[in-house]
Amino acid sequence: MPVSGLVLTLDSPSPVRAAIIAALVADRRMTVGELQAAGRLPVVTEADTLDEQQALWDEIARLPGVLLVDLAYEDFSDIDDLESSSLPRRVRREERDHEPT
Amino acid sequence: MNRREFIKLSAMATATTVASRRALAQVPATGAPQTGLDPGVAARVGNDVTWNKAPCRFCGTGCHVQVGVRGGRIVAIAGDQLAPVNRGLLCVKGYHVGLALYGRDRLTTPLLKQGDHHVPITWAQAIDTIAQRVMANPRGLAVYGSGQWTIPEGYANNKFVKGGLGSNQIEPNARLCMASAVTGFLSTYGVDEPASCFDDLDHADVVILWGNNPAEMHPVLFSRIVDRRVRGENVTLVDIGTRRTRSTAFAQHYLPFRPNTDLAIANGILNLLVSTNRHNRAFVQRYCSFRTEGAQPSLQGEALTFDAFRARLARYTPEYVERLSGVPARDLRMLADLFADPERKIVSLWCMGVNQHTRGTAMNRLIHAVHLLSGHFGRPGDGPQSLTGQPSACGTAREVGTSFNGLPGGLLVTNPEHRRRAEDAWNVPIGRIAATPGYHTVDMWRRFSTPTAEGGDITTIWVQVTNPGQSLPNRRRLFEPSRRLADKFLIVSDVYPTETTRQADLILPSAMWVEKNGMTGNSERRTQQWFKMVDPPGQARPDAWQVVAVAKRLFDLGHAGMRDRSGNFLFRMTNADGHDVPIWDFAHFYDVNVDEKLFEEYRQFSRVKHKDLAPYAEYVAHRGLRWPVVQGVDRAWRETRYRFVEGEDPYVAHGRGIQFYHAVEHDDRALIWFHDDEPAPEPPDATYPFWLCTGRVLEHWHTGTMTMRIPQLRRAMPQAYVEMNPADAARLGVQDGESVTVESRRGSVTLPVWLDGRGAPPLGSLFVPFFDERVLINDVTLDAHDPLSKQPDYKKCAVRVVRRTSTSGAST
Repeated sequence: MPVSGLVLTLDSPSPVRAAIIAALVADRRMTVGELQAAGRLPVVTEADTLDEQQALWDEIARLPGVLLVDLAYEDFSDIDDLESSSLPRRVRREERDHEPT
Repeated sequence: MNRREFIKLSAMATATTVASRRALAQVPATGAPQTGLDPGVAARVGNDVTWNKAPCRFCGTGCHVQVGVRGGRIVAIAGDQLAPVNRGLLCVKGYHVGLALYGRDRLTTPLLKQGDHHVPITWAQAIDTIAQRVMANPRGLAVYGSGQWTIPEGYANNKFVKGGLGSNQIEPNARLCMASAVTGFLSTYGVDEPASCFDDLDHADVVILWGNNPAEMHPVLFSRIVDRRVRGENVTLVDIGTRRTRSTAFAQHYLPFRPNTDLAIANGILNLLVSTNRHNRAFVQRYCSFRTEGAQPSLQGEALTFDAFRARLARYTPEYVERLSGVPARDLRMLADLFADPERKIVSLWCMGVNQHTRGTAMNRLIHAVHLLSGHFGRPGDGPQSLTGQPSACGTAREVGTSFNGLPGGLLVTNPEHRRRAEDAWNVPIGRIAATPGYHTVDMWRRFSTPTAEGGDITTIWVQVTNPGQSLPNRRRLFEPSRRLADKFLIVSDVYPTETTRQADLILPSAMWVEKNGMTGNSERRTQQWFKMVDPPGQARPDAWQVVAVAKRLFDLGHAGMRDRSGNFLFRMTNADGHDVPIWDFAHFYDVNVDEKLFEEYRQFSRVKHKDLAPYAEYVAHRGLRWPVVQGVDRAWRETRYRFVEGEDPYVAHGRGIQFYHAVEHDDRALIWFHDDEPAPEPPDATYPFWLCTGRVLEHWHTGTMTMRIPQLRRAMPQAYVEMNPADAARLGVQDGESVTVESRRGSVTLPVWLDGRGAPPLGSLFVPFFDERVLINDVTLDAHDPLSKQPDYKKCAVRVVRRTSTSGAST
């Protein structure tokens, strides 16, 4: 079960920030830390698999008002099988167009 | 608290510390030793994880990571908050660097090719096989290493070849990535490597990207720029490129230009500065001279007066440059205006776009020329900063001199005094080091692929830490023919099966990264150190041990070159009690710190060209130090941020301001070069109508041998593709995701088209990344190279696109 420490950089308007933080806090896969100056928000993510972890990061990066997602910590001590079960694939434009934004 | 809760708390503590540090833009102090644990991981001591520092294994940025080890296995990675380069952050590759060790198919035993198969053999058999090849034909052996060699590994190999075999047949793969930067620095300042440093990114008002995409290639450095913007600072980003990239998205100015016209753009800026008398006359008169190329390419060139320099530039009017390059005259004037403003601080960044160029030396010189002519040099935030792609391209390839004409510390085999110094340092007989340079990379491999009877005098190549089967240009000319020649023998030391190991006659399993001690040097002259933290798998062993073991076997077989003046073994080492330690016996390799012994021997070379290195212990205590590192009267060792600048560089004389103390003409002046633009060696034509550019992507590093084995990275970018302009695709009737064949005069690859993807090539241009071993784009690329640096051009060749259909084969 991979655990990651992320640093999100949030857009400046306060109402947007508050909405983003509220959305993140409501997500049980995340633990949200204290907002730092310049819109830096520490967040810890948990996932059952590497695939889910990647999907979660992608989801966060797509949130309106999230400017940057940086990783600060990665723990993979619980992962025995480093090989992904999913086949390598590339998101086609058509698929992207239908993904939630 | 259970272990999982503890891990989550650790992750939150680290992320919070990084967030607060970045918000305040705090820079760790660099003067005092950064001893002890990173504060982000200190709180986790007591858990059964042991933490220690190491520079990242991947690019030339030189980020430091904290490596968490439990039960002999890496279990966690954190950005090192005490590291001045990255301040606690890493890129997506860096955070997964620990997983690079644990791919399922690590090489764990020596393998010898028998028929169509590789069969396991013992290390003793492998070492003896190499030694017997060398004994049979000592001059036929070449060593081909890389900017991924650690400093001690590169040094050991250099000493083995030049001080032992006396042949100079050694090259790094860095020939393929930054050789033109070297010749640019040497011919401008008289000595290699940047005068500036990454601190500039925190102070620049303007950052100019010359064919450079740091958002993907050097993301942590790029984040330092973007971070300043987030904090409300005004930083202007100018992207001069041949395709839109992730970096372009952050740029205020994007100046697309036609491939190979970058020299004209630089000349246009220079012309605008001198023709309007807005160059920095005081700076130029005090610190610079002018040069142009003579009949033959050289580092010295021919002297030019300022008036002659101005006259040669005169035709590069904004309108003329616009016609050549496609960059609008108004944008060229904008660039010139930026450089004409003495108050503005400007940093230029460049990497492969400029270096992998048949005019790479010239383009490097012209970037320096723009900065020198305008006086944008020597202040924090104001200077040219060349970037490198490998973790020790600077530290090993350049500083240790693992090239066909180099000796450690920037010395040259062609210089009798330098040879004598090296022979004294190595205690080998006078005359041991050959005065004739070896073969440069392209020539070395061409000779290896040429029958011996037809002049192919390189018969054995020992490849270490690199993958030439996937990275050499024009692979069907330089690499494949050797595999059909019975007397050619390819030895490869690596950690995973690669395109090169598959073709090898002998495969040696290597230890990687923190499976051994190591030192590297990044793009800002920062030398870094780490200790072994985990054991390598199976029988994998460090490259330094491998070369020492071969040297010892040669010594035992009676090879005279493996003896020094005293008759002792070339790599003789003793312990603290003065007793010999048989480091060639792997059971005793770690009885002494071989890295420390080799480094202490090497660093005596560093003072000749004022690239002074500190004692090994200083690097243990720091997250790297930038040379020259000089001991003060208080006995403390101090690094240098800015070379040639009074008050920063201890070798600049008082009152000189700026002193180019290794100047080409020994007059303390840098050279401002003039170069005309020239046509590309292979422009598109009616048969091959597209430009092809190759390069890297964020998720993968070079040929992907490590990053393609990291599930997260492989999944994020699973396969190579060809980027095409949507209008070209529509004209050809090609759909997104459809497979096409990209074909040059040399070879072809078939791969899917990506439209509106990460990059956006202009009409008539294609881009293919290099990381996918299933798509060997080096079958297609050109082996034309810069006449001085010998660096090939991977960025420009002519190709065509052949559409394929699923039912009826190919159609155009």
